[in-house]
Amino acid sequence: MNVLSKQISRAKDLSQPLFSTLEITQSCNLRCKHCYNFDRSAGANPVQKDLLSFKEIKHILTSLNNLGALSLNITGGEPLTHPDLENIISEAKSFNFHIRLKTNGILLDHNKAKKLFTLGVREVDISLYGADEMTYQKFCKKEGHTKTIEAIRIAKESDLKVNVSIILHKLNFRDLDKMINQVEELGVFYQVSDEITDRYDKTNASNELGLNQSDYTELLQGPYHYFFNHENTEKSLQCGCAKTVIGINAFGDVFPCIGAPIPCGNIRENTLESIWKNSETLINIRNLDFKDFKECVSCPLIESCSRSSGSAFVNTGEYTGCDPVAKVFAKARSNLKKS
Amino acid sequence: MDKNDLLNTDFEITDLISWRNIDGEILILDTSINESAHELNEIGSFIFLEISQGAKLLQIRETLVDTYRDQFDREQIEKDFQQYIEDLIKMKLLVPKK
Repeated sequence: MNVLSKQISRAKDLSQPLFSTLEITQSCNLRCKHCYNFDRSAGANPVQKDLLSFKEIKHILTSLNNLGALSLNITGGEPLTHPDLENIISEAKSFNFHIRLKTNGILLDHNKAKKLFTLGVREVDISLYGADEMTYQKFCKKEGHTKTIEAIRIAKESDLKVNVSIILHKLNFRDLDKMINQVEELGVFYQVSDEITDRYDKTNASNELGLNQSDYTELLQGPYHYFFNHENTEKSLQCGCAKTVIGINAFGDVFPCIGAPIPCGNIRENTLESIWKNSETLINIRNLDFKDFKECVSCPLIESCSRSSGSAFVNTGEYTGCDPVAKVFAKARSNLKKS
Repeated sequence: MDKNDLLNTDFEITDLISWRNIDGEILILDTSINESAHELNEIGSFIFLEISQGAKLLQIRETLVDTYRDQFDREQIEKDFQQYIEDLIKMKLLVPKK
């Protein structure tokens, strides 16, 4: 067991939320079809008065420090659109968080990247939605490919550790090789994400461009099959949710993970420390056992399944239930293994 | 740097890393310098936290001598302390105070 795994395991036993995600805005400069926040097709951003104020964000950062958080993921919407972003980062750095910014990169220029590093950002996670402008135009409703590739280069030159998330969907999965080549040429770390969920506003048109079983089988048979050959021989169903992971959205709602939007309290009604310690929902999640995932325990696909409880919750409303999207991918893996 | 120079220099933890105390052991995330994570044992964590709070090296060493005098002789503690500080400096986790 390496150092990080060992210490994460210790933090898990203590319910110390080492990994925190704070959504600072839901405003965004893109209109991506798959966005989980809400349906952006109408073009409107959320009412600004409901969003966390800088003062509230400062309180949250203090609380996260009190709870022992080590890493702070700043996300959105697009965090670079937030007018107080630099102040938020300065405040977060004063608590010595490992600060990571999740961005589409389009608004990142040399000056901003250097400033972010100086203020204390150490990592950026930049999403790549396609291999060309045409795909961006269709998927994000705006051009952005050239700027994203440029942002990756700029971030690297500014000493930020760069992680590119290649977001796979129906319009780009056959361009995976091109996207990988583009990222590898820049010499940065990358991962491939095949997961598109329903939206947190309960609409599900986000899934229209998600991969189906046939698309997934094609990927599994392709040159990059190793990104998709997930094996779960240990039949692991639990994650860090509510133990080493915490999420807070742009309205102050506290979640077991930003990917599992189960309301556990709101920082406008209670302190974050109190919510983390006393929320029944969080306590119940911490106490879950393998047998509580009833459908999964008896599922013949369990060893091929990459299910996440957060996605299961978003897609079905059941945190411990079956995620139909993950099941489709598990079927594809299992069928190929058999054949 | 000789022993006396080292102990009389004011050091601070580099701002390129982040760390947290997990039940008495420090976990350090070091993505910018060594691209790794480090863990410190109980005594290492004590020294690290003292430095982060601005304590002088000589003062920390004397606290350690007082605490462990029944288990180890002074010479051994001084030698181990010096080595530990040199290791932190070598890894660039400890830098002269600005």
